[in-house]
Amino acid sequence: MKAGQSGLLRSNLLGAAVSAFFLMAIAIASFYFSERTSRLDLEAFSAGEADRQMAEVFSTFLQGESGQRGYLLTQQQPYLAPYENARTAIFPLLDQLKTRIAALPPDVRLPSIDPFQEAVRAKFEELDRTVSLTRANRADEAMAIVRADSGRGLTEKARAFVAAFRTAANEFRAERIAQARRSADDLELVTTIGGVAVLLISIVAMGRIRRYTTEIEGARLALSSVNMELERRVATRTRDLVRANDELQRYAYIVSHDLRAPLVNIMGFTSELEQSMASVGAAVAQGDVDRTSSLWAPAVEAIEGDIPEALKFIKSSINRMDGLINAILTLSRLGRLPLSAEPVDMNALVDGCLGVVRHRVESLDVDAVIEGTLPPLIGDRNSLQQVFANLLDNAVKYLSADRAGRIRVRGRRAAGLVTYEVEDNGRGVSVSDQERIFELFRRAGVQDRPGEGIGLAHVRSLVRRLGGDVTVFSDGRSGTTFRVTLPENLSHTLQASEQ
Amino acid sequence: MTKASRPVSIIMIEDDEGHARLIEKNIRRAGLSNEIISFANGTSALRYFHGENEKGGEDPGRPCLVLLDLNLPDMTGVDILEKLKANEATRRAPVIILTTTDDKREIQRCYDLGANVYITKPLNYENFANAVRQLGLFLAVIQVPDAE
Repeated sequence: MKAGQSGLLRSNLLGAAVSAFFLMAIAIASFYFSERTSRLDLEAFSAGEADRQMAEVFSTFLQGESGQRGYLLTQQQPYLAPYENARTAIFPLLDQLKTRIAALPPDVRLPSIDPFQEAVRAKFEELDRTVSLTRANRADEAMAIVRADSGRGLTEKARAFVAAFRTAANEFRAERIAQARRSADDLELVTTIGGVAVLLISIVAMGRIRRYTTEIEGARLALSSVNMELERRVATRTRDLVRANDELQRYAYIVSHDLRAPLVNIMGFTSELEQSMASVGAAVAQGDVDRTSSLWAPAVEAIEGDIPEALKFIKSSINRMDGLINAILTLSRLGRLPLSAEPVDMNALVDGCLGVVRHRVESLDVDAVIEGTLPPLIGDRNSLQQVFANLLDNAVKYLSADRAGRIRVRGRRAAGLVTYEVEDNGRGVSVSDQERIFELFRRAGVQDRPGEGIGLAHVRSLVRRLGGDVTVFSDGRSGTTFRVTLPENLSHTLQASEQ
Repeated sequence: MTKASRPVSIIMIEDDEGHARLIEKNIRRAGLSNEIISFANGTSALRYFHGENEKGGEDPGRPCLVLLDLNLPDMTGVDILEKLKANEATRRAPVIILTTTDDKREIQRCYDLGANVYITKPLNYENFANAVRQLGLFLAVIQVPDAE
C-alpha cells in the first residue's frame, strides 16, 4: 500500500517533470522557430526590396539615357527634364540599394555592385558630357560620342548586370521563403510531437491515478471491513466480559447465601452448646464434685478449660467467616443494582467524592485536586461514585508518612474511551502485589490500616460491569496511579450485553 | 392460638434440619407449646396438606399456620405458596415466609400471592434467635381461622 503510493507519487512526479520538459521544449522551439521564420521572412523581404530597388535604379538609368537622347535629337529644353530628374535621383537610389545590400545576410550570393556602380557613373559622365556639348551648341560632337557606341556598351553591360543581380536576388528570396516555410513546418512538427507526448503522458498518468485510486478505494473498503470486524469483536468481548462479570456476581450471591445457611446452624448450635455448657459448668461449680478424683479431674478440666477455649475459637472463626461472607454478599448485592446510563459530569462527581474524604484530607494537610477538566461520559452515576470514592479513600488511606500527601485526578478522552487517573505519592504497591490487590480479601504492604480487602475488588467488579477496566501503576515506593478506562457511552455496553 | 376447639398446629417447611431445630427451640423459648410439624421438602408438605393428586389432606380439620422457607430442594417456596392459596382447604391458613432471600421482587411476589408475613432470616444467630422468639410471641396472639 505504502510502496504503491510512493510509486504513484514517483511516477506522477516523473510524468509531470517530463510533461513540463516537453512543454518547455515546445515553448523554446516555438520561440526559436518563430524568431527564425520571421528573420527568414524579413531577409526574403529585404531581398525582394533589393530586387525592386535595383529595378528602380535601372529604370532611372534608362530614363536618364532616354532623356539625353530626346534632348540630343530635339535640342529643346523640356526634353531634358527626365534626364535632369534621373541625374538627381540615381545616386541616392544607388546608395539606398547599397545600404539594403549591406544589410542582407553574408550568405547572399549577389554579384558585386561595384562594377555596376562604375558603369552607372561612366554612363552619366558620358551623358553629362553629351548634354553639356549640346547645350554649348556642339551637338555634332555630342552625337559623335553617342555614335562611338561606348555609351551603348555601358548600357548593355548595366542591363546584363541588372538581370544577373535580379535573378540572384530572386533566387535568394525564393530560398529564404522556402527556408521560412520549412522552419514553420518544423515548428508545427515540434509542436505536434510535443503536444502528442504531453497528451500521452497525461493519459498514462491518468490511467495510473485511476488504477491507484481504485486500489486505494479497495484498500479503504478492506480497512473499513477490518474495522467493522474489530468493532464487532470489541463488542463481543465487552459482552462476554459483562456476562462473565454478571455470572460471577450471581455465583458470589449464591455461594454467599448457601454458605450462610450452614453457618447459621454452626452459630446457632454453638450458642446452644455454650448455654448448655454454662448450665453444666454451673452445676459442676456448685455441685459436690471431687475435682481431684481420676473421674472428675479431666471432666472438670474439659468443662472449665478445653470446651470454653474450643468454643471461643469456633466463635471467632465463625465471626471471621461471617465477615467474609458478608463482604462477598455486599459485593454481589452492589453488583446486582441495576445500571442506568445517564450523562455524568465527572468533575462534579469526583468533587463530591473528594468532599467525602475532605476532613481526612484537611487534617493530614493533603494537597488533593482535579487537574484540568475531566471529560464527561454517559455512565452509571452510583457505580462511578463508588469507584472514585474507593480510589480516593485508598489514596488518602495509604499516604506515606515521609512526605506531604499529594493526590491528583485527571482524565482524557480517546477513541470512544475515557480514561481517568487517580495518582498519589503514597507508599505505593510493589510490583508483585499489583494483581493481588484487586482480588477479594487480599491486601498488600504493611497491615496498619483497617480494611477488609474488599474495596479494590469492588472497584474492579464495578468498572468491568461498566464495560471498562482498572489498572494500577506503581514503582512500589513513590506513589500509585490507578487508571480507570471506561467506554464513553454506557448504553452501548448495556446494548451489547443484552444481545 | 386461643381457639378452644382445636389447637393450632405450626407447619414448618424448611429443608435445613439445623434451621428447623433452631427455629423450633426458639419458638419454644417464647413459651409456645403448639405442635410443630416439620417437612424438609415441598412435595411431602403438599401431600400432607392436600393428599395425593389433591384428593384431601391427612388431617383436613386441623387449623394451621405455615412457616415457609423459599429455598427448597424440590420446588420453590413461591410454588408452595401458590398451591396453598389456590386450594380451598388451605387458602385461609396464614403463611409466614421465613427465608434468607431479601430480593425486593421476591418479597412483592410473595405478598401478591397472599403471604401474610415476610421475614428475612437475620444473618447472625443472635438476631436470628431474637427474631424467631418475637415471631413466637406474635404467633401466640394472632387469630387463626378454622379449617374448612
